Amino acid sequence: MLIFVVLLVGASVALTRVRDVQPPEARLGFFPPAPVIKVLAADQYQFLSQLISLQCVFYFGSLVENREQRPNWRNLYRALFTATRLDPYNMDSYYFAQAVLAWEAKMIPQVIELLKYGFEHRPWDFSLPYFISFDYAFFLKDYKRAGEYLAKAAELNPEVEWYATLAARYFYEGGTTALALAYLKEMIPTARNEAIRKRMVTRVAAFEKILHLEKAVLAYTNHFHTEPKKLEDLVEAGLLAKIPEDPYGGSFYLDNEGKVRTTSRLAHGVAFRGTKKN
Amino acid sequence: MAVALKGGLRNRVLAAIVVVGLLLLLSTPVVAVFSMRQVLALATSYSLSIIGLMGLLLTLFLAMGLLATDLEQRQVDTVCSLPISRSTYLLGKFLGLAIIIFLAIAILGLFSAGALFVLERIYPAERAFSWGVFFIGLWFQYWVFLIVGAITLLFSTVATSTFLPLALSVGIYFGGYSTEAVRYFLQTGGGQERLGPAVRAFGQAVYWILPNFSAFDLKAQIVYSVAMNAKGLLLTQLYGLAYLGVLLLLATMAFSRREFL
Repeated sequence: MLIFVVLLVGASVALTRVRDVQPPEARLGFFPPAPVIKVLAADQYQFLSQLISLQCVFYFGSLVENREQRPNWRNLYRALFTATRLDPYNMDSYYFAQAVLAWEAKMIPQVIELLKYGFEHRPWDFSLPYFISFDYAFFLKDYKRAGEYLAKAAELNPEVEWYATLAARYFYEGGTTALALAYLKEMIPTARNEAIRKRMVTRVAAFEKILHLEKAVLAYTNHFHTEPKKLEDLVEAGLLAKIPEDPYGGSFYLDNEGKVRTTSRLAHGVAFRGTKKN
Repeated sequence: MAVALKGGLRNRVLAAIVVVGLLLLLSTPVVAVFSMRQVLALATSYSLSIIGLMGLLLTLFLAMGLLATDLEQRQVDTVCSLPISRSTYLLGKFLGLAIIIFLAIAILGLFSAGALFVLERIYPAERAFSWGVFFIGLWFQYWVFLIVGAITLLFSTVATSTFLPLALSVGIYFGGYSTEAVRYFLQTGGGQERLGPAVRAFGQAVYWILPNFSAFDLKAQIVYSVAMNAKGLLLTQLYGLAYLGVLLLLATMAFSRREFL
């Protein structure tokens, strides 16, 4: 008996170590297509769908602190796609796609497609057209479609006043940073998953710094009647005490069009060699 | 019926179900809090999933033992000598099974409702949660188990091994949840193009022969408050009643003609 217990403990510890160093693709696992799962799962398909979305959350949560191992976004998308085909009402899948795949993986067309599928089945849910409108406006700069979906969201939830603020900003491309801030500040209080909430808080901190820089650039332009060539010009002009640090670990700079950018591209561990003025 | 009931109770089935119900009550909040946007929906889905799984296992376990024990222990000879018909004996057995499954689903349903009631207070549903729909959903789930139990009983009356009724019942259970989706596929352009007429005819035949358990599945209505179709529910109930009637009739016919050596 003792031998077997010792063997079991030893094997379990060794197995855990081996499993811990699995590549990201293997960690998430493989999910067969939804029709196959549906046939094999009988009446368990709905709970399985939710298990798949939970698996995605755990997978993302386990890798979010690990800067060396990046999640396999394509597998995550496939898993979420399967989850929504098993249970088209599964809001966790849509929320995760919007909170993670849109921002972290920039899989905007795929996320919009998922959200539209969700909205077909959840026509009462204002958050889905709201997510779609934001993605169109912020990521794709398609303000016409963004406005259409925002109108649908407002129709479903007319009491929320921030729609008016967002709708106004959709008509001004220059307001995208403020738009992102308004969106994220709305999302943070409802984020129940700690990993996702932390990401949003970091993103808000980054956007607040970008907004601060954008305001300084505007003040510089108004005062000197010319755009600053680099961010250090703002410090030299006394408009900034110093250039703020990017919470993602990158460096802020002005691109060729005079827009505030960061080398991190608002993601951890992303090395970007863009054109920098300064 | 009384014998079947006593047999079921002797197995301490209901005591085991109470233990499962307690575990369900305690584990539901633990599982549900992992949800990001739909705690109550995940809790409800989890509860229905456990009830479905337990109900299926219980139905198969009890239905397989209904005749097998009597046949193996030769008690059926004693029964045949009693002044009751074989049909009465078989239907009584099935009624006992139906009562035990009903009690089991009721116990699990009440434990589950307890957990959901507390969770609903803490995490209000995005759309009004209906307890009426919840219990209607459990009722239709119960009818799935009745039909699976009757299928197992039917196969037990003709089979000489206990494994075959189990394997066939499990196969029909899984098939019953897929036939509607297969039929929808056959009606699409892709289904018409990809599959030959023989395969399509086979798919249609399977749909009409196997029970359509998808009609009994009200999970979307329970979990997401999707509107119910009253006419559809009524027809599903009639369909279930008729299907069960046919199965029990076939079982009694087969059992009446069976020769015991």
